Amino acid sequence: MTPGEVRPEDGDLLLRARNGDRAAFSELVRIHQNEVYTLALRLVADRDLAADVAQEAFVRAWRSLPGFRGEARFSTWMHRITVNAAWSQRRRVARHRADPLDAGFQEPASRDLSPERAAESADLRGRLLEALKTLTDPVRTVVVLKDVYDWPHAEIADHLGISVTAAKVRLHRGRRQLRDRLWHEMEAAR
Amino acid sequence: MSIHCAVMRLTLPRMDRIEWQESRLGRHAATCLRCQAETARYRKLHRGLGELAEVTEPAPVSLVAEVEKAIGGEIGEPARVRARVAGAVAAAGAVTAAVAGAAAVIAWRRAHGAT
Repeated sequence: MTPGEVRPEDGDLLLRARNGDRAAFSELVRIHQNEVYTLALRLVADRDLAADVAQEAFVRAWRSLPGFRGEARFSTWMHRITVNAAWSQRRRVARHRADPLDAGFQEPASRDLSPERAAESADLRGRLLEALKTLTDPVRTVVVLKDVYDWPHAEIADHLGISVTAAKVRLHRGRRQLRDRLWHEMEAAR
Repeated sequence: MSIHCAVMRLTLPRMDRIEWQESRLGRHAATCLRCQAETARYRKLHRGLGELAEVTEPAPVSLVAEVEKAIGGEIGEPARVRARVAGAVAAAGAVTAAVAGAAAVIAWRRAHGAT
């Protein structure tokens, strides 16, 4: 694929959007909004803030569309923009709010699983989301990007402006804290 | 808790995938119920985190409209920028052609004036 081309799965919507077609860009937003919002929500753990992050990510995408060369899929590109938007948003919020962001996570809809598996999965997911909320922003961001979205350590470090070692330290700390949080009651009962 | 158990506790959070079979710690875990339980917890943690990527949250219904509103003043901007660049290139080309033409006329007149 040469620079300037877009991947077929994104269709001609991207080409039209890059030429300033509002309807085409709106359609791209419609297609990718849930994915972008979910990533934002996982990163910031607050529904209102996640909506702001998703909106800012799409606005940034619109502004950057002429420079989008199609080396990556549009969804991958949007993920990167969303992470950057979340990071900027958190910095802004941190400057203006002293209280922790504790509103947010709700139980997501369950998928098509056996009733037992679905119940177990939903239980774990609910506890996991609660546990994720207790992590600090820098630690949660690394855990989400690595263990939820499977980003490479180097890419995480690059996006967050930290060393790979620092990213790994945050990841290990986050996993340890999640493990302690999730099974604390069980350990305490022994 | 043995030294192996302690090492297991330190090592498990560092593992991206829990695979122990060939290692010394793996052989220890095969005989240690405490470490088997700990390994199972981390497996479950990895599985749960991985599943979060598969569960999509519905975006607020107003998101598309908010984005459209936010970029409303910028709609068409990429095309306009490209049009401005193309216009500037065309103008520069026209100026160059005019200068070259004038130079050619002057040279022709000089040549005819001299003869």
